Amino acid sequence: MSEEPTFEQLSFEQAFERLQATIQALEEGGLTLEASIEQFDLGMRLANLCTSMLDQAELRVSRLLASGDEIPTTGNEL
Amino acid sequence: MQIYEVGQVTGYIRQLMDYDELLVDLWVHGDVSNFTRSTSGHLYFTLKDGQGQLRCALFRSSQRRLGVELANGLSVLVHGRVSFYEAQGSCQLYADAVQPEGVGLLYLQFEALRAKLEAEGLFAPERKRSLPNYPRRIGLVTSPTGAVVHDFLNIVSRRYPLVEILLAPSAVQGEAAPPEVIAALENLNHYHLTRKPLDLIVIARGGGSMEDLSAFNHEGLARAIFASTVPVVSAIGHETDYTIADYVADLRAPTPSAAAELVTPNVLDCRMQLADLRRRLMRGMQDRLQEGESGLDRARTRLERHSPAAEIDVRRRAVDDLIDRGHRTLAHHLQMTREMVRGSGLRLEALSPLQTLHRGYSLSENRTKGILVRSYRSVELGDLLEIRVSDGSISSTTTGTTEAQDTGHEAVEVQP
Repeated sequence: MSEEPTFEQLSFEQAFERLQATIQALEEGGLTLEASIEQFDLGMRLANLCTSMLDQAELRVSRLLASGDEIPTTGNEL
Repeated sequence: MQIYEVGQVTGYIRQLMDYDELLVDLWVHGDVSNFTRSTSGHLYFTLKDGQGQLRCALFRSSQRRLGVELANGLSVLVHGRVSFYEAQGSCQLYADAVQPEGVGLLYLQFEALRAKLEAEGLFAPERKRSLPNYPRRIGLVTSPTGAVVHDFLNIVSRRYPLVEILLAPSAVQGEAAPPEVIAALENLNHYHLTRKPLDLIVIARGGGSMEDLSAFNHEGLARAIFASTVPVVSAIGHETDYTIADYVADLRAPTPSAAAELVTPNVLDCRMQLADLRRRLMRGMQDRLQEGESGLDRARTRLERHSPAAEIDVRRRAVDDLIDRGHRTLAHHLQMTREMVRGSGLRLEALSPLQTLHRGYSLSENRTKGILVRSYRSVELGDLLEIRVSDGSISSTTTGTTEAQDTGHEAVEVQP
């Protein structure tokens, strides 16, 4: 079930967790300078991804029908 | 006729009572008397009214469900089972709940259901599931009309708009409510298993009277919540209202609005955490760079220690030393030579021509020309000569010159 999501497919939580893991790896040290730079670069991209997700987020609401189907709606239509 | 032992009789009586449907689960109303607390913490009292009395025991393990501070004379409702205490040969009410007098039947039903479900383990703390910090999809069971759904959506939208809300509409009041809420829960769980995963389900209902909220004291609903694969948050009525659904749910929110805040992180907190993570990221990288730099410095120092420059310095110093030594030696030699020369002067003196004059030789000087006479050619007729001998000099005039025969030189004729 858990196919590795691509960078763009990451949820906020996944991106956030990866960012934390990246920082931890960087802070623990023991990485080569090159690997550190890779981690740093990945961390910056993850941080930017998280920020843009927060910037662009808009609450999505849908209504679950008894049939099991969902129909998108806005809070105002309710 | 058969004869029985006492224990056989008391055992039989106890068995009879323990199999009696009424006696194993009943509420009894009466006044407290002979109230005592044993050293082990169990409570004993007698419940009586104008017609009779009943011994009661409330063991320590059941006392968390003591809804009132017991005291003699207090009128109370006691729940429990009546059995036969063989050791004393008397009936005893083994209480598991005590409530003050005056509570309604609804409350008693509520308490009974709560006791039953609790005994089954539906409220077990270890069964409560934790909720994700950053939910992606939330199921919401509530009435599609009214303030609750709007408030909920507004708060979630403001706090954490990254989430997706899946609304499963349901009646939340009256007889229709329990089956509809159960259906909504099942529907959401089905969606969770077959479509997209849900992180949690919120069952929300605004405040109301205890009768209004009684739909959530429904046994079937309690079991549906218990059976839900997706963690359930109950948000029913006001802060002071407790329903059976609250006890079964993985988390009880005091109100629907509170639920919206409990299940979502605040986007502002997220941004602050992100800013903090960015700072840590930068600092981490700076630290790595600094580490690399100081490593480089250490390597450079080590390298310099082994560099030919140092060796060259050593050699240069040796060369300088040699040059210094050379200078010093040379100066010494010069000094020596100078002293030797001075010594030689003294010896030279010994070789001066005066000594030769003593031996009979003479030295002639051409006074006219002002030169020493070494050859007859340096003298012309008439030139004045000064001839020095050991004890003086003779002035003479040249009268002729002759080249010596044997030497090929002309001899000088001198006339004093």
